Amino acid sequence: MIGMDNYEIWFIDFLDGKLSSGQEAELYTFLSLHPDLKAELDDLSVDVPLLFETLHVPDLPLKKEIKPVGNITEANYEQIFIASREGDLSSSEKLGLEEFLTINPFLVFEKSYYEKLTVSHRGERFLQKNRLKRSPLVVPLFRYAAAASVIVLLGVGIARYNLGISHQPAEMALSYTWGFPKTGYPQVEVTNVSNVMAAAQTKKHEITEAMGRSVNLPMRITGIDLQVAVPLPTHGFNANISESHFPGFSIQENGMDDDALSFRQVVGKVMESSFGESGLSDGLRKEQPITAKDMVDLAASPFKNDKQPVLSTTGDNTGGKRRIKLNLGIFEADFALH
Amino acid sequence: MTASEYNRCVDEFADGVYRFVLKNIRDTEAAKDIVQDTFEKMWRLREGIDANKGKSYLFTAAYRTLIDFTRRKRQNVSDEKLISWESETVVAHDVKEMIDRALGTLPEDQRVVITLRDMEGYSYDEIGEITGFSESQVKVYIYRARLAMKKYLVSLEVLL
Repeated sequence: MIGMDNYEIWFIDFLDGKLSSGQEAELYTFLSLHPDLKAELDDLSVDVPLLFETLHVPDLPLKKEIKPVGNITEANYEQIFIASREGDLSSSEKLGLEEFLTINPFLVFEKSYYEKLTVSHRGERFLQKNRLKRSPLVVPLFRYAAAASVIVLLGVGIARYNLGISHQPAEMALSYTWGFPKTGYPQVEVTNVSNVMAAAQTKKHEITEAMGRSVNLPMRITGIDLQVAVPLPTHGFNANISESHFPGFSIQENGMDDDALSFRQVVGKVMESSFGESGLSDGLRKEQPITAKDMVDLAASPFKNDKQPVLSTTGDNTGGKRRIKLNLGIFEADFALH
Repeated sequence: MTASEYNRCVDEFADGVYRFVLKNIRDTEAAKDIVQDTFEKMWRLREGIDANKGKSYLFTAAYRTLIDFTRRKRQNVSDEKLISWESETVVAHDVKEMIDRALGTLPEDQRVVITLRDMEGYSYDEIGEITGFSESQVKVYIYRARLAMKKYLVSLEVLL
């Protein structure tokens, strides 16, 4: 058997024409594994045709008579080699191919050529994955949850922006309250956004009954990353909000991408994604549906030029606590970042 | 498909889709655009997409966008230039590059199926689902592609 310790002897025997067909096939296979040795073989004799010429797969059949075995002939043996490579041969066909190669050993190399001929990549990576990603969204169950989601959306976005938080640590807690101007609604205590929805669903009947009287739902959300789920594209959220809308806030325009969305667009997308075109009030007050468009208009209203700014801060940054008060007309929200 | 499932598809398949497109058009910027378009489409239609078939959907969409791209390009480039692209002087740097060069000599259909087969390991019927070819068509294209690539490489004395 040819190896690194005796290949030179094989080379000389090859050049002297002393190798059998099977040994020549073995030599070809060896050279395919060690192509660097080809030059060494070529150097042994300038009188001998270049190895490439000798190794040329198409040349081999010209130099050797291909003996058919079963259905494998000179006309179709390459198809059989490809079929073998693709795993398309049956057990009996595999046996036939083995026999064919035993009888025509000089074709072993050609078969191995097909097996090595594979299109492969170079490890290229798509580096803009973050641009492709989207924010997961919570689908609120009814209008109160929907309203809450808008407020959470606003509050989280604003808090994150103004406090310079680019990524919400898991342990950070954000508490907020929201409610309609009228008070006295049932109290709901929740620990995360999933629970907001669950709690809201539980209280659905009470809320429905009390509709029009009052709403006051203190909530506590922990682990904002979980499902507040409205981690808006932070680069886009504040892009088109002017500083005048946020007394006491310092709006910085850095870090905005060219494809940043306007506030209205963002809210619109969230609403559209969350509620579709059917509106928000299915299962609740069907006689007075609130559509996604309504919500968008509502959420955008504070930012229209003819309206007074309705977003303001209370408290300060000292003591690690920041409060943000949000009034969108029919509901208010108080955010405190701990 | 939820947003989380969509994002998972981005993480798992964006590289593969990009490589598939890039291998077929050899244009980095165009490949990025096609990947972007493909995922945009997936996001728009996510409600009707089974998350378990996300990869198949992505490659199908990428393939269609790729075909549109090459057709548009073909309309904008003279036949003469297209031919010269395929027959320009070969300078071998490594075996992979030579195989890529051989790939570039194939007809578009063969090129697509062979890249799906070799780079993604798709079966004949899976490639058929992506490209719209019948299973037997896919098989024929793959066989022809292998044969043509081998002959091309051998003619250049490329030892694999």
